[in-house]
Amino acid sequence: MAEMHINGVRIEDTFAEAFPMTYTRLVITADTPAWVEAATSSLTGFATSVIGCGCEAAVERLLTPEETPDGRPGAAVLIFGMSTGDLAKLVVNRVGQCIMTSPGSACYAGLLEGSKRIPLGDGLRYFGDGHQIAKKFGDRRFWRLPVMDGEFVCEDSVAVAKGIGGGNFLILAASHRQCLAAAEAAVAAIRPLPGVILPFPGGVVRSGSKVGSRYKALIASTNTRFCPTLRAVEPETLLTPDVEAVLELVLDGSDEAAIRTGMRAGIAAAAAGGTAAGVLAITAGNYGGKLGPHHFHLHEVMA
Amino acid sequence: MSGMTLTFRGDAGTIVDMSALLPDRLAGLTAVEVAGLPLPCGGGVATVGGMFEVSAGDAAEGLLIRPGQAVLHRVGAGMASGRILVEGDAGSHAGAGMSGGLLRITGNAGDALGGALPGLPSGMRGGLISVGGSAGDRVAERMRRGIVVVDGVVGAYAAGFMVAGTLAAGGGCGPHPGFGMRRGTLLLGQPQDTVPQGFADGGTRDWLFLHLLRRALEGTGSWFERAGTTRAHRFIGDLAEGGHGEILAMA
Repeated sequence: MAEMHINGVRIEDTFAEAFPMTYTRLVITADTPAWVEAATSSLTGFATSVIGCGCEAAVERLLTPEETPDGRPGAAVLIFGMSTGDLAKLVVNRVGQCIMTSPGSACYAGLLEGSKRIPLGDGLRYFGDGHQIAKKFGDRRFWRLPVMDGEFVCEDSVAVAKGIGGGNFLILAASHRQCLAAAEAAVAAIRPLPGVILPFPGGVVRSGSKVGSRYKALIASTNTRFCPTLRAVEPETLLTPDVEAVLELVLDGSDEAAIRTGMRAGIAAAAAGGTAAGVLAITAGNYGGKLGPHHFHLHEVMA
Repeated sequence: MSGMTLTFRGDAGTIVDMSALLPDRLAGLTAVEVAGLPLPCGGGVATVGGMFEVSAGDAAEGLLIRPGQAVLHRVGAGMASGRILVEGDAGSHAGAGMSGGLLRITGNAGDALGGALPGLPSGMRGGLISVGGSAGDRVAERMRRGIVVVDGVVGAYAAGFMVAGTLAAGGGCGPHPGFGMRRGTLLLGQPQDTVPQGFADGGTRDWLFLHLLRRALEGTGSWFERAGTTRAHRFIGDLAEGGHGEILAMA
């Protein structure tokens, strides 16, 4: 395949390798946008990678009062796990500890269709100690749990669906500052898109990993081929001498189209300033096709 | 409303049991076939066509009933799905034992709206009933699930022995509301001056779940859809039945 450049930025002829995950969408509301932010930041905290956190989660987008079931400000949150069973445990724990505890909050299903469902209020209702009340309006069932500021309203359950985790691309830049600026631009371009989240802090990963380690206890370790400080001693380094920093964006999405759209928008934004902004190349992480069935070839994504 | 239309053309005051005329039962029947169905009326049996002018159309898409001066009992009783619109008044037991679908009555409804049919243990089990006028006594009696919304006043023993579900009466209610109520919600559009017998005063606040009720009533044009507040005074009861039910009187 011919070389590809965007504004002089080299797009490597490689692919991002992603894998199937199970996900759900929650709609969180509160009295004010600030309390929505408080609730969702807690809900999506420590949810960067299934490897260490059990799930990956982030706010998909903010919702206007007209878009929420109770007419208040809200946010849609996507939570990804490796299986329906894993997700069921993690979601009910997180909603119980992070949403029910947040003043004025309510939690609704953001995925309504689907044969598989996991509990929300159904798993939390006993907190009401016998004073919980179920209300069914149309096809949707809600629980009202008495709490100290009134009632916590929570949908009975939420559907789950098959999604994709691990879409990614890496930004190779001439300086750390320029690399971070490009990554921030990419995050800003991806965040408004539906069906895709960036679960890492600020949407960016600086500690990309490879499979395995010289230490038996670790299943993953730092991605030495992309560490600028190891370039001189890493025989398989993928960095040219002019690369000072590398940052990665990891995308989880509801389907291939959402990942593809997100990668395209992010890469375009990262390369918008061209080599003049210090961005030298865009590449992607893969494991030779052994990790997952979803392959996002950068040249196809950006074609 | 598309679908089939039944326009009463018999004598004023004729009493008719309408429980056999449900959208799902009439689905796929032609107007001629529907006109030939027997229907209890005035102590005897007549045909639908003998009492109603039957328009062409499929009842599966909706059933429009124009009662004229007839007394139509049990309209939509036992209905499981579909839509019935009554342009005028309905008699007693409208929507009794209903388990699904939409029953809209533009005028008044009689006793036992959304209640239990005689001899049966349960009232309404699902669906939505919307009444533009007022309703009689024992509305939503023994109701288990669903929503009944009445723009006007409901009579005595509203939500009596209610097991679950929601009755919303914009004009308030007669005596003994929530008598024997186990769970469920009786929502009143008028302030309640005194604590109903068998209930405890639970205080006044904004109720978030009422926003969800309002969303569920969108398109019905009912009083609560137009209500600008979700602030209500809560009374908890019937304490003789465990006290898990509630009467909410809009503040």
